Amino acid sequence: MALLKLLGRRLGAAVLLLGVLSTLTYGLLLASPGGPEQVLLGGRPSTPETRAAIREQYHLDDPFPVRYARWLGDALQGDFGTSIYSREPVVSVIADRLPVTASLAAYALALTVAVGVPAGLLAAMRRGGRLDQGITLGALAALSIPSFALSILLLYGFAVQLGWFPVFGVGDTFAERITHLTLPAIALAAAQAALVVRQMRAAALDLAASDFLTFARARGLPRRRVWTSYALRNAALPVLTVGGLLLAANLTGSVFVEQAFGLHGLGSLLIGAVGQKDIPVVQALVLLGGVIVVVVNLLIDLAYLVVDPRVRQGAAS
Amino acid sequence: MKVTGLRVSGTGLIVDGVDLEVSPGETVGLVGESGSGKSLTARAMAGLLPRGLRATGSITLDGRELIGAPERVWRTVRGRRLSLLMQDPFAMLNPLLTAGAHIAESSRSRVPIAERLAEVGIDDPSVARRHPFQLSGGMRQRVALAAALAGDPELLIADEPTTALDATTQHEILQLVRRVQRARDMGVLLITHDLRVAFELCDRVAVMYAGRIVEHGPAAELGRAAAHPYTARLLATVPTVERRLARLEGIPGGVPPAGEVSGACAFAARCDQAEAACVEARPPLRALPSGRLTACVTQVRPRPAPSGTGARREAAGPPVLRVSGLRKAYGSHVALGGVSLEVRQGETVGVVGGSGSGKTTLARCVLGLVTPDSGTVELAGDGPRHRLVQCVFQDPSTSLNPAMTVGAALAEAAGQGAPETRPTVAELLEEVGLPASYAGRRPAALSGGERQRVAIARALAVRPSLLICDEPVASLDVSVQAHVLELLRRIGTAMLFITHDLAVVRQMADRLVVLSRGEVVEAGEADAVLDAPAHDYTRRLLRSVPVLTDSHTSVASASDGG
Repeated sequence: MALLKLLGRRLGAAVLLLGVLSTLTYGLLLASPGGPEQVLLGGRPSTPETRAAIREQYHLDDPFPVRYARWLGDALQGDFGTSIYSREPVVSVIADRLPVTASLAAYALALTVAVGVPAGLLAAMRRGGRLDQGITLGALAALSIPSFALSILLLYGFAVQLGWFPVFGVGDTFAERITHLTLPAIALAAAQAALVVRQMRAAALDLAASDFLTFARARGLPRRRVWTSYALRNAALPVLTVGGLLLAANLTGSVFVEQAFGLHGLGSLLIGAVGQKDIPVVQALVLLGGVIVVVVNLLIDLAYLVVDPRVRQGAAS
Repeated sequence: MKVTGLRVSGTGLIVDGVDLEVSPGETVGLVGESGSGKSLTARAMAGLLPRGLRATGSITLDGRELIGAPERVWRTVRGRRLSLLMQDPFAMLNPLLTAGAHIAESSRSRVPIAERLAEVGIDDPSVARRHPFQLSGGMRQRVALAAALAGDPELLIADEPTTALDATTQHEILQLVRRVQRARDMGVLLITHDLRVAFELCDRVAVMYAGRIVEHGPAAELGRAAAHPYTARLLATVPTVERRLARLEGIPGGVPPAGEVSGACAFAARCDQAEAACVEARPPLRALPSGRLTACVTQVRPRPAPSGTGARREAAGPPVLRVSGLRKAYGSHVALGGVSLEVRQGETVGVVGGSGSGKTTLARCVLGLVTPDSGTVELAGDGPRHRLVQCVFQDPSTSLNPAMTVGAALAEAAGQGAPETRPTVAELLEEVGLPASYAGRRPAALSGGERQRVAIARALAVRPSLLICDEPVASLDVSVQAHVLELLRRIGTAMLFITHDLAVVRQMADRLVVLSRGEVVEAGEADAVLDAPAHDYTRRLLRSVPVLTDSHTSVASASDGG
């Protein structure tokens, strides 16, 4: 019951946040130079008649709240209007691009967790040793290389010189997609994995010094139990937060990597739409980004509820 | 379990040749101040030394050598043969697991969890489903004990199991350990800094100092007459709840690193009967009659017993603090339920109570850190509140800024006071008995007692009319406690002295206020309240103080003949 209440509260907050975001997003159209008609015409020459037709079609003469409400109503039904550039419904434009970015983001997150968590744990276990120094140094290097530079390095090394991976495109079958997305996912995941390594290392060091871990060993618990139920589960809490935020960042911020690898994902769509002043697409993308961040955060909160009884208690009271 | 010549070293030597033996059915106490190496000895015995430390020597369990044994062997020993119970019940349990899960995971037989809980005095089986954060400190320590016992070990090593708990709970847990030990006929090694606790519970007691055992013997014998000057001095520093002493005596100096004194008697530098022989060679543990061992070359010379009772000061001055009808609630939890009290000039008012009694909330209200729901706090004098009242906190290692030198911290504090009465750093250091050269040091370069002196100097820097002391000696060793208490006695500023330790409050307070669940249950002259407590709660507090019996306190005179 208390859980539902908490969920309700969080959902309420999420709706409020998205409301504000959508108002601002919708405001984009009005704030654009040359007025909304000009934007909607896409810079084509116009007569007063065509402008009047546009105003009529988009209800531009209605008061702002009414227009906003109508736009929001359409948006909620999945209608974000038509792209000015391609004349296709915005939703289908995005639906075209979303799978690429989503698989890239998921792939990168999987790599981040698969590399970052064990490396961080290992570094903490071998604290001060060669391995720890190597991992820490590697993480620092990965953090300091910008993703587009890494993209180019990877492309040159593994795709051009060695020819192990394709240079661009996404492929058709699942296996092809994996090979196509491997280099981009590495480029995207490197800095993030470095963050997770550091987070995990710090969390594990705290844990190693904690009384409850010593007490667990003092009771002769099997090593696997100590590692899973004590070390990993407790260290998971801070990593969970970071992981969620990284997922949101991947979905909305893979612009550079997509450009470098010639992937037609949301990032390149956004860049194109901004360049072409394709306001309906920009609106939809901004809103989508907002939704993703809000939903991911909601999921993190829920995951906390599942993992940490203290949060459950806090939620109940 | 038998320990022979155990040495633990990291960057320096920490434990230097400890011999110890614990048999089934026996409770052995290992007593020492911080830095004596007692906790590391315990850790070494469980094969759980912190990273970077190494144990050499011999630890055998039923004749099987464990030093140098691989982790795999240790895992079969831990839990089943020996178990380690640690100090802090708030940190010892996995916050994500229920109490029941802790017990179940360490259990190797099919004993129901409810039965395990019942063994440690928890009759409510629903506790098994609760998480540690939903339990009180005492309950957590019980659950931890049940978990430690779930593998049915033959030896329980308890490392300060009650230090983090308040007096009444402490008493209960100790009784519980004793009961369980008897019922299971188990061996117990109790590590403690508190001689009173060791005497109350143990058959034999070993006293550790600077990484070695300096005295070892049956608890009753050792309590009757100390055979090592360190033990004698330690016993003399334990504050008594029975009467107010005229002078509180500590032991001057500090514990030396074990590595620096390995060729001599470790206590020689602080001992008032040291001879040349003490520093020429390390005195071995020599046997005395009645199964005792001492590492002292001479006999302990009796020290004059602390004379009589201290004169109580008459405080008829005007009140500096008047608290009336103070209430504060956090949600549904009432921290203060209408507390009234008064502190007059030059007077020390003790506030005692267990954890959750509202002592700390009271202090915070007076300091202005917490806004009470209702009631008033009146402080005599003009000016901002921080010039009228200052506080000395419990733990000087966290209350001092580690990045600031002592001088800078004191100068900064003095700068907050009225310009006309502003003391210099040197004056402040002198007031608390520290050399002026300490101004250039940082807290990390000071001992615990010295840090607390600095904290006191900092509180006095604005010349407050009232000093609040919130457990000022609870984190200090007994040999240092006495120095700090004596210093606080000398200061003469009106004091609100908050503590859970009745023996300390007996030494400090002129008047006493007993708090329980946010209510004043008893108040009056300190001596009157402690000699003849009227309220049941006060009586319970008094009963839970481990007492050095007459034979213990008269240690010095008893060794007259010896």
